[in-house]
Amino acid sequence: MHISEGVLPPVTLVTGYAASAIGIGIGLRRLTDEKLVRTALLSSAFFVASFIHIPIGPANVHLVLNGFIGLLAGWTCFIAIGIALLLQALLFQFGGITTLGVNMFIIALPALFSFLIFSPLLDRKPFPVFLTGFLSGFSSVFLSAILLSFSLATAGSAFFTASTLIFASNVPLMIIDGLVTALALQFISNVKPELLTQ
Amino acid sequence: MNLDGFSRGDSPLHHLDPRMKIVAYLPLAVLTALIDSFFQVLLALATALILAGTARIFSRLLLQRLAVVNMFMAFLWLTLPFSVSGEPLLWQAGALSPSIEGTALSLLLTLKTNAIALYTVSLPGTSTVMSLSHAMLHLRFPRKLVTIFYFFYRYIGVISREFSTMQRMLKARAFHATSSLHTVRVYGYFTGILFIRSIERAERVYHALVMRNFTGEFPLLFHFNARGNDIAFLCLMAVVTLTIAFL
Repeated sequence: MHISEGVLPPVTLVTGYAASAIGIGIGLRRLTDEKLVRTALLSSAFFVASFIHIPIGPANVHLVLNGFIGLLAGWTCFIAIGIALLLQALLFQFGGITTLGVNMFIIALPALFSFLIFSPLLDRKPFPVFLTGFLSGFSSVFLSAILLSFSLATAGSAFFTASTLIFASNVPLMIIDGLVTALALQFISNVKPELLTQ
Repeated sequence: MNLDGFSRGDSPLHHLDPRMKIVAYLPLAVLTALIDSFFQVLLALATALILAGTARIFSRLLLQRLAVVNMFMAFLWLTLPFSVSGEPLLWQAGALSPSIEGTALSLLLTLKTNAIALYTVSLPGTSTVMSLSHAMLHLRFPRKLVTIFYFFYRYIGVISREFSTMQRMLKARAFHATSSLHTVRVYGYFTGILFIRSIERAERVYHALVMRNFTGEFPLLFHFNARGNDIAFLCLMAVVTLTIAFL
């Protein structure tokens, strides 16, 4: 779920852009030419994977996979996520250009956390890969939903109900994203484990 | 995959210099996000409708895009009229009475969002993404980011072909997505393969680039040149933006 244009106050919009700029800056410093292409294609895959819809009863949710992107893209996850969100804002009107900073921060910060916390676990394998994947997927969507609700709440106390409602509507997605991340990660560690240890 | 669905057309806006469209679009979008009087918002919406009319983008596709935008607004319409206190709109029933102020706020936000969505489709949306990224380079956006954006966009087509191939494969095996653990498992492996293929593709692309002496950037070979009507458009948009800002 992306925040649309025109809802948030200027302070939140500017803070979002500033915080995301730091994330992008860190990513750019660590970006070699080889990583440049890899980041771009991870971003393409992230964009395409968001077209996967999983039915829940009569409705359906689309995958976010930000924890997964964090594990694969590492420090460059702000870039990978940011450009995909830019294209979504330009072409599909998901989110928007003024809210791009906030939306990027909401999705990419948990991805970075997922990289920092769960990547070492994948290297040393104290936990089964499946569990690491589930925790990474679940906690990333959980954190994103919290950041989303919090950003919306900065628009004023009248938005508290809406932000609670939005948080609640994301709970099924946390579980599904966790499971998909777990299975995808387990698949990769069986088929091409070298992708996870760099 | 047809991503930039509005970029093909023959309207005056389609023929403008993409640089001018970006320069006109950004301040207008930011301004519209920040205004909060009905009068200004109605002016902004009128501008948006005129732009959309000039770009001749009214179509079924546009309605679909606007429906996406208004999904988020639906959440606000469900809550804001009740959470903003004020004069009751229709009836008085404790916590369940929508207030005039809350309804007005929802309406204001909805109009703003739709206005910006219409600008987005009629200004940058009427250029191809490739010419937009070319224009971003000329406008001095960070080169590395634009280069990544270029690769990202270039390979969406390739990755989404992989995606459709795999979906066809699932269909051929009579897979049908339901609310079940089976579906989640299938899509988990599906995602795994999709990402493995993307990373493998990235390695091949990188090797091909190194062979061709790639150093992280593309040189700019073609240059835009702004004509009289591009400049006139930019001036007109500046006047409109300032009018909305100071009225």
